[in-house]
Amino acid sequence: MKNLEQLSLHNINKSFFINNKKIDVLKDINLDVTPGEFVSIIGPSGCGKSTLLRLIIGLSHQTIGSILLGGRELQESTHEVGIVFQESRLFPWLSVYKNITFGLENEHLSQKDQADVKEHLHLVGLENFADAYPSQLSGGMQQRVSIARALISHPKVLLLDEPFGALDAITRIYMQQEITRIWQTEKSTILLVTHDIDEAIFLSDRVIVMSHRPATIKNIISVDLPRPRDRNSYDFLLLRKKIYKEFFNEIEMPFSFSI
Amino acid sequence: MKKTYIWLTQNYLSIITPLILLSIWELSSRLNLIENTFLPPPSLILKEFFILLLNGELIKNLLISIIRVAEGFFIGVSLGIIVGIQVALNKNLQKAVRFIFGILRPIPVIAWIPVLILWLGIDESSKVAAISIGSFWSVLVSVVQAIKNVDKKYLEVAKVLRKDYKTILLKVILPSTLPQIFTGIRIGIDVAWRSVIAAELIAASAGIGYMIMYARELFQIDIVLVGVFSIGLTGIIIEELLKILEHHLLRWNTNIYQEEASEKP
Repeated sequence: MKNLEQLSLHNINKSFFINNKKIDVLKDINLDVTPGEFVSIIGPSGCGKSTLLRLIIGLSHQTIGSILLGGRELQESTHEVGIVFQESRLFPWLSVYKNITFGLENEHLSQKDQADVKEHLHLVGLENFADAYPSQLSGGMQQRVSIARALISHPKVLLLDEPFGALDAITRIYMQQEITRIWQTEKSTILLVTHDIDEAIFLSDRVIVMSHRPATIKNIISVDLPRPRDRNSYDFLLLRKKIYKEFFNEIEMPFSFSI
Repeated sequence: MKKTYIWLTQNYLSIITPLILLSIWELSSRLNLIENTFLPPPSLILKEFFILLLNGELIKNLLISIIRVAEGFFIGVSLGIIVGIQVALNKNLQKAVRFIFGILRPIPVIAWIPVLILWLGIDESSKVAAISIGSFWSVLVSVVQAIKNVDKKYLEVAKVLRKDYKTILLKVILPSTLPQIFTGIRIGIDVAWRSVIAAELIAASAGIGYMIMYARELFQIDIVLVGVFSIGLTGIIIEELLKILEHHLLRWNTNIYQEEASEKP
């Protein structure tokens, strides 16, 4: 059992310079994620959602602010945070098994590691595909391998950067059920970036709504629905409507249409 | 048996076309349409080929050339890969060698041969050096290009999995560049063959190029042609061997080998 810790984002600001012109991407982001919580970040495309995840994983650095895990500044050399990108980004020259073990710190596998890899293959439902190459798998299967690779080092926080964005609608719904199951088995804190309102409500404890650039936290919506969730339940639809309004509050539906 | 049959039905054109051309050649020679002293019929060349094969002359000279190619190619390719990696990953080194490489690279190997003969004499070392130079450049260029084109997304994966520099180089950069490096190696072996023949034609005391040159002086056109064609024959054998090696190393590369999940075990 890993001891989970609170992830805190303090006053995060990020600016880029394009042709010497300063562009603010993130502005005053403050967020505390409770250990074991599933949080979704939703916002208009290009608002800087992914940039926030890149800051947490250490692929980019914030201009101002600090990112803390359990009260300590996040160290770049540790395996405390894992990430799954929109594309699976598997190495085509490695088998599924080797792609997953690449996520481990040590390349030489101990007996315990081997059992662990097996367990994760089972977790993502690919125990029969250990020796397959990524090109032989479907998009959904590739993304499962990528999830296993991120989870194999037992990160305390798992970042998901629109992981199902490139999948077809049916596979996406299936993967959303899968990620709920994986989250419940692995008990990681998960931070998901998405542009799919349904996905955000279906998966998360809280939905963070971001504004357009420079992105700020516009609203935080708690989802107090019991799991497994029914996408067509009345409460689900109410929440969907509520979040929908966050984006399209300017355009009011004419009254006559709703009769 | 069945396999051979299937292979034949798919590839019969590759076999029949040269056979037809050879027959036309043979026929026009027999009918005295071509002067035999300049272009003997294929049957005569084949006969000479077997004579030279059986008395060991051909094998001996070919082997000498092949060993030269192997030595020079090994040196050239190793240096090409090592220098290529350094140049591709080090921006300052890139700037430092920009004009030096820019001037040296376009020089054809054949232009170096007189220089190398003066420096190293007409025996092995001058040929090996010429071959190394030839194969060095083609490998170097492909290594540098390949590393520059490594998908940044793969490098990010290695970074978020907290891999060190050595692991990134050996486990990410090298394998992802291998297909392109292989292209460089194939061009390199072509250049190596050309260089060795050129070097042997200019000055040598053994080797397939020497055999051709010596036969020319004695006006033994059939031996000259045996020499010329055996270079081509060796070339196609090397090419096929490289393909097998590539197939083993790059099994994952679906751009070359479409290995779908097969329906039978």
